[in-house]
Amino acid sequence: MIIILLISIVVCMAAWQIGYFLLWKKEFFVTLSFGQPYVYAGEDAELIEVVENHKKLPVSPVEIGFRMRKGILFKDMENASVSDFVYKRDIFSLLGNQRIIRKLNVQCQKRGRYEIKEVSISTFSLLHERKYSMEQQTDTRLYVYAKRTDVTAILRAVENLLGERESKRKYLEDPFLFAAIRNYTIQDPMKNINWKASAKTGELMVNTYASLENEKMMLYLDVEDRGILKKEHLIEDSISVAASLFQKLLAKGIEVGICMNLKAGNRENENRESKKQEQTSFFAFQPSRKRETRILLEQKLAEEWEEKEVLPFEKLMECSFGDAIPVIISKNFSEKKKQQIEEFIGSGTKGIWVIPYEKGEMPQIASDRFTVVKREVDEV
Amino acid sequence: MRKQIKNVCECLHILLIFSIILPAIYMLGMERERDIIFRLYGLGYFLLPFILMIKRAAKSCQKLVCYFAGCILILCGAVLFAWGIGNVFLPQSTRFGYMLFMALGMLTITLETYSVRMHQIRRQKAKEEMDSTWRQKDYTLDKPHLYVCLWFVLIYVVALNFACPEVCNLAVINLMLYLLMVVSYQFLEKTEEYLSINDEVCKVQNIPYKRIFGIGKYFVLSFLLLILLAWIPTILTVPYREYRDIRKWVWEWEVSYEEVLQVEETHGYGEDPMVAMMASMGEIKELPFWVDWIFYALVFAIFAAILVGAIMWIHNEMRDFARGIDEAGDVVETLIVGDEEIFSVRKQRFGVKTDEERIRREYRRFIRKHRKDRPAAYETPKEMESIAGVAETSEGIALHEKYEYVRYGEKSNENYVGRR
Repeated sequence: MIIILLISIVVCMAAWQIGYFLLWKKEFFVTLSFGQPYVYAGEDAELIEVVENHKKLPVSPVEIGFRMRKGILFKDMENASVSDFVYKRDIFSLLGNQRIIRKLNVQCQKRGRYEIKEVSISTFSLLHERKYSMEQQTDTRLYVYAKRTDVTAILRAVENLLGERESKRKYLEDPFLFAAIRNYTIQDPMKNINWKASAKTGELMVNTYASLENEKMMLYLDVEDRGILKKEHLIEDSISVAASLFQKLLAKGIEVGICMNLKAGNRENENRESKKQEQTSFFAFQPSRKRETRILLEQKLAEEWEEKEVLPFEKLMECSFGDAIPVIISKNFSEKKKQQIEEFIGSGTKGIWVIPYEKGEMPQIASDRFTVVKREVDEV
Repeated sequence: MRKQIKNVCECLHILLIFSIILPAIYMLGMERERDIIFRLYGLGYFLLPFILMIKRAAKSCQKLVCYFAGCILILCGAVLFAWGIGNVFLPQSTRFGYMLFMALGMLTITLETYSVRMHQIRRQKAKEEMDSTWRQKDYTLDKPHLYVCLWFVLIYVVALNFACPEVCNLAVINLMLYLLMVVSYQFLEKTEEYLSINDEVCKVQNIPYKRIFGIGKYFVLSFLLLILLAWIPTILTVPYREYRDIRKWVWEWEVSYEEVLQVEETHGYGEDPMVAMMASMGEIKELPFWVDWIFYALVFAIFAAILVGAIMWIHNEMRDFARGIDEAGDVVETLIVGDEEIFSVRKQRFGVKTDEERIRREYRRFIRKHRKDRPAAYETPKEMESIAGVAETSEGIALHEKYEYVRYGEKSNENYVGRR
């Protein structure tokens, strides 16, 4: 009766294989999420893998694989192969009703929006003769904002310009913007005397008020790179400068806006104001102190764009700066451009031109209409 | 540990194949004795020390001449050994056969081991030269393979057609043992191969080796238990085998299973006095049918008990991998169902009490021991103990603290009780 034995064995083996094949993927979930919604380029982030098995049947071994855009490095890069994407694979082993959490450290080298939309899950039969796979949808993203850079030289130029404007403009006090209390001088009107403070101190004290006119800045970011030799590192530096400057000026309480020679896309997170105010085809924000504009700008700068979405520099000239101080950030310098900028700024005010350049190619640009801030950038 | 298990499986694989050969050849003869079949089967396992020596020689000897010289020595030793053992345990007619079996067996193993060794050298060379045309070869005696089970099936079929129930049973036993062993070996080998590819070639980091082998091991054990269950129908159908003897076509020898039994009964086992005494007692009465049923029920119960015990053991052992931080640094958690943990739910189902329930039960027993009437629901622990007369005893005080903690959820406060 060895036939009975063989049939029984075959039936047992078949039942095991079929049972495992049908049941392994039930109640089995993989969730990927980043530890934070954004980081700056050059910083580290955390990717959290959670694998859950909500049934009694163990699943072992199980491979989890996913892919991401290049630009993020895993600390243990050995099991991540890099071609057009970064492919990562991890191996787990789960008992029934169990959850495993793995945290991966990643180094964000390049700005961008990194998304993981799909996860592939594979397991093997008992003796590894068969591989079973399935896909699961997931939705996690990480914004890597442009790298922060040192903009002290630019801020100094900005302060110089603001100081000049201060002395030139008429001094108008805003009675609703209380600034400080100081001692009375003969030039102060009596209506400004703060009698309570005077009674307390025994000396005449007056209120002072902030200026009606607030400082405004308008950044013009040129991302055009149409030369034969692409200078991506200079464009990256321009973007870093724009983002860092925007952040610093906002922190100082200065109203700041930005205009980029990029086509405005139909993305959900685009500022409604920019769509309302500017019936233009390029990306722009008018000067304001809203922190939301900074987040929108950072996210816009983090996205990738194609060359056809980049508009010529002349398009930026259509975006007027009003009474704001214009700060032009552009690596493309020439005599023609200098004249264009001088015309744009006009004679009534002064601006700043930030020029990132490569070693050995220092621009010889000077003008009385704008201050030139040169930045030497090393090619990475 | 894994390497040792694999080495044991590799030796057992050769032994199981060779041990059945001698009985199978012996049964082809005209005259055969049952105990000789079992002796030949047992003596086949004496190949083991010589197999180990040959494997050692293959590993240690750098030169071919040295290896073959060593193997010749081992072969001579095996033949001498066979001659010595044969003189003690085997009749004259089978001694030469046993010696020949040992010599040929050693020769086969020597040649196979040599081929495997050369193959390994060529593989190393191909790896260094990055030769993509090189192909892996499989040698039958090198490691267990699933197709070797057909060898035992073949022996079984031959034994069935030569009316030899002993060899049939040995073939079935060898088949089952081999199947259990080959599944275990294949699991170890395939898992090691898979992990080595991921580690060395793909450079996967944070592989949880311990978990994969640990959980996989228990997976395989569960599968082997299932395979063992497949053996039950075979055991139950042993009396219903239909034997045939093809020797009668050649020698006109008519044999049936009943005749085989009768021949064994009348002739006995040589000079076995017990059997002769039993035979002199007269005809053996047939057992009633319900004895068979009891026997089957007993067999089933034993198998069921082994199965349940094994499953519970596996389940307990798997708890090592239930939670904590594993070797790869991953956090392992048990999934919670509702507000209760899975394991605590199972604890209650199997009658295991939590600490709180144990303390309550202990307190209840303590009070009932010293108090005849049942305490009222509104009585405080202090009142219960006072009425029982155990409030001032050391045991009472100790239990009071524990019980108050469990009942009220915080340490007892004497001032608070006083105010009440």
